[in-house]
Amino acid sequence: MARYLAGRILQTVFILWAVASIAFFLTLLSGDPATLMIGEHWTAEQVAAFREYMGFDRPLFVQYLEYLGRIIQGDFGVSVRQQVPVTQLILERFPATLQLTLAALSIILMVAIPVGVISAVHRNSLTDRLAMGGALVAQSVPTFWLGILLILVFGVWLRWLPISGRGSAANLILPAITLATFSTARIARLVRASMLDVLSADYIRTARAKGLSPGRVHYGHALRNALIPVVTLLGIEFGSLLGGALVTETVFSYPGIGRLTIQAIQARDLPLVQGVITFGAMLFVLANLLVDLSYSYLDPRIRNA
Amino acid sequence: MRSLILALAFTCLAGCSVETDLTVGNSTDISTLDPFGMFSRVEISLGDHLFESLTFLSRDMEIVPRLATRWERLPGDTTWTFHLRGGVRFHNGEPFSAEAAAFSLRRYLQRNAEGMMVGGASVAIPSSEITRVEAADSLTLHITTARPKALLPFYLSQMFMLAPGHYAGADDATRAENPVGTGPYTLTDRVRDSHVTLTRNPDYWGAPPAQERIVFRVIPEISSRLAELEIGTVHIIGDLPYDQAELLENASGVHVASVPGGRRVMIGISTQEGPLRDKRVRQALNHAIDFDAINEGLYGGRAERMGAVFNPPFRHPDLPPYSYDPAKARALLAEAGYPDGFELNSLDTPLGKWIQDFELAQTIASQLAEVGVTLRDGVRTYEWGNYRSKLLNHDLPALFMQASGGEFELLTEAADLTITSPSNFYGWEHPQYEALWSELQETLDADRRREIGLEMQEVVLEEAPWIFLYIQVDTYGVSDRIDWSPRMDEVIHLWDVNWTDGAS
Repeated sequence: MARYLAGRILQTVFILWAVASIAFFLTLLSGDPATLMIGEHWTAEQVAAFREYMGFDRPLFVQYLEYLGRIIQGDFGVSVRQQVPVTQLILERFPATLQLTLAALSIILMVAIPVGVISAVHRNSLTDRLAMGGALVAQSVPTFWLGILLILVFGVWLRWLPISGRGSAANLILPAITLATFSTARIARLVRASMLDVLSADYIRTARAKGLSPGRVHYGHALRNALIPVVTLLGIEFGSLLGGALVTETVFSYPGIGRLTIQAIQARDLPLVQGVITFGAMLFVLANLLVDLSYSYLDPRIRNA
Repeated sequence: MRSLILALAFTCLAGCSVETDLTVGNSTDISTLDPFGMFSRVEISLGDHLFESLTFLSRDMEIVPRLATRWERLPGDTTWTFHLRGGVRFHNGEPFSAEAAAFSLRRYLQRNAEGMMVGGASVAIPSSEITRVEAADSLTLHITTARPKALLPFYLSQMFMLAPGHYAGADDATRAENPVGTGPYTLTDRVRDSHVTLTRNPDYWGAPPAQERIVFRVIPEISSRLAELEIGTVHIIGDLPYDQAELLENASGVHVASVPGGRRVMIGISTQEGPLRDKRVRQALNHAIDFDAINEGLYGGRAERMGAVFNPPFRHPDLPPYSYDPAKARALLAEAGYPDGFELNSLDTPLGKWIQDFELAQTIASQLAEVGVTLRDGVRTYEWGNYRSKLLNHDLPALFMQASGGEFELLTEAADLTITSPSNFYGWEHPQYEALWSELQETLDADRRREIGLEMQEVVLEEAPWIFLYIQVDTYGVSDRIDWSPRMDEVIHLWDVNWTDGAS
């Protein structure tokens, strides 16, 4: 187990280094960073002074090493446009994104698991067909379209809920539903498939033969085993949601990490772009690591493989 | 289910009562409240409520007094005297004085020399051009420039006056988050990427601002901005696409307000390249463009073809744009020795930088082909960052899309076409224009300056270093409940905006 753990952690560090490096070099691909940030009427001397101030005049390799040295200490530099440390900007947005992610995740759990189980247990019934048809639609609907539709119905026509911004719990409802819809459908389908797999297993037949009630069989024996792959998917989903929901946060003007990412790119704020990319990757990789570790805890065969 | 609906309805009572503060919905957030770092139109709009400058750009883009009441140049033309307004206080109670003004200007110059971005809009005054700033007495300020500088009052309209006691030792974070100026409003609350709330400055020296509180919200998505406008929680929205404007015109309680802005969109011509050296050829390219078709197809009929190239207040009042006349275009080409047309390398454009830029470039390429001017490599598109580098390095093909922002200042706009300017991407050099430019730099007489500006525009139109396209029309969605109309420089001022229904 210790070797497995050490290997996984090493792998994680390698991935983070790779992502940080890609972020560094990719952001330099979009042209000379100094010319992107200056005004149209600057003189050559002003451009040179600015380049020096930003450190763009030094060799690329030196800039890269210094960048790596800083991010190891959690310092992504200072946002060029906002003049605030990148780490502070990210941490400021993180609670908003965490809140939205947790709200979406609760919807996913509350809807996807019961729907998946009921569909599997009543396989090929009308309920199953309706549920899976609905899941297909939910998975196909583009997020921005769903968001705008919800705004029109609940914000403009019915005027029940606020359209945009962050503040009260009411502000969280529409974006959380929008964000959760795709994943809910995906996970409901996975729960159903996984349950069907488990329900045909020998130990379920044995449980039934013992005369256990259908409820005990389904929820006590089947669901627990069927949830192992679901845990993996949920973990990955959690990690990627934490990286910020670009479309949902934009449609609902929700000030989270996703919006910060878009702002950073639009303002060509290189340190901020590098920071949000690396931060998002870090959360994703860490969530994956935790899932893998918990997976090996849930299923001893993985640990020993 | 019924209880859920009731619960939702109840949440609404608590959470979505109609906002009564005057609110603007912007598509982008401000980056900072640091007076040294406010450049975008949104930032300047907000900054103008918190800070003031010595001079001010009026609605007609004329320089008018603000914290300076009047100014004059001393003999020798390099030193100016500014007489400042008395009895003005900063938000923190410090008095505004010539000392404070000198402090502010020196700060700008120092930051500029350090290579920091400084100054409003895209105009930055090189620090080397101001040699001395000095307070003669408490309300008189002397500014000395290296050379005679007619532009000084204009530059000063872009530089906010800062409270010395607050800004003298301020670190980056204080500057970015605690604005202290003399403006009609003070900062109440800012949540990044969400909103900024301002409250009336009770000690303001001028007419008391109309609204007690005003709010600038960030609503990036146009559908959400429109929805907020429709339900009355936002009263002004900008960046309204032309197709959405049509929808809005039919809605009740709101209207569309539009104004020709300062952004001029054109195709730059590399005038040192082959046939393009001949002005008849360049004129032919202009006559080949069917702008009415472009306008209907791409801009919902809201754009207007450009004739005079400078922005108000210096725009030539009667210079008709080139007409669509393919026969004349062919005749001009034949006269120049190209009866069968000719081939150019390409027409380059950024993708998604200006409204419908790619579609516009494609249409123009096909219209040029109709008079025999073809493109070997067709229309080539670039990501904006790379395109910008190409522009600044003058690494350009025969034809390239270009848009120039509005400075509303003759010298800055005229400079773009002088041969020494880094933003003359066209390699265009014309003796008469250069002569007018030299005269303009030294001329202080307002009437003569205006005349020079008119003559310059006549030369530019005749010589055609561009394929003249259009001046962008800025459209806004506005609630019928307020009496606001847009300015042509995209800056939004709210201090004199009232409710039309008598609300307070």
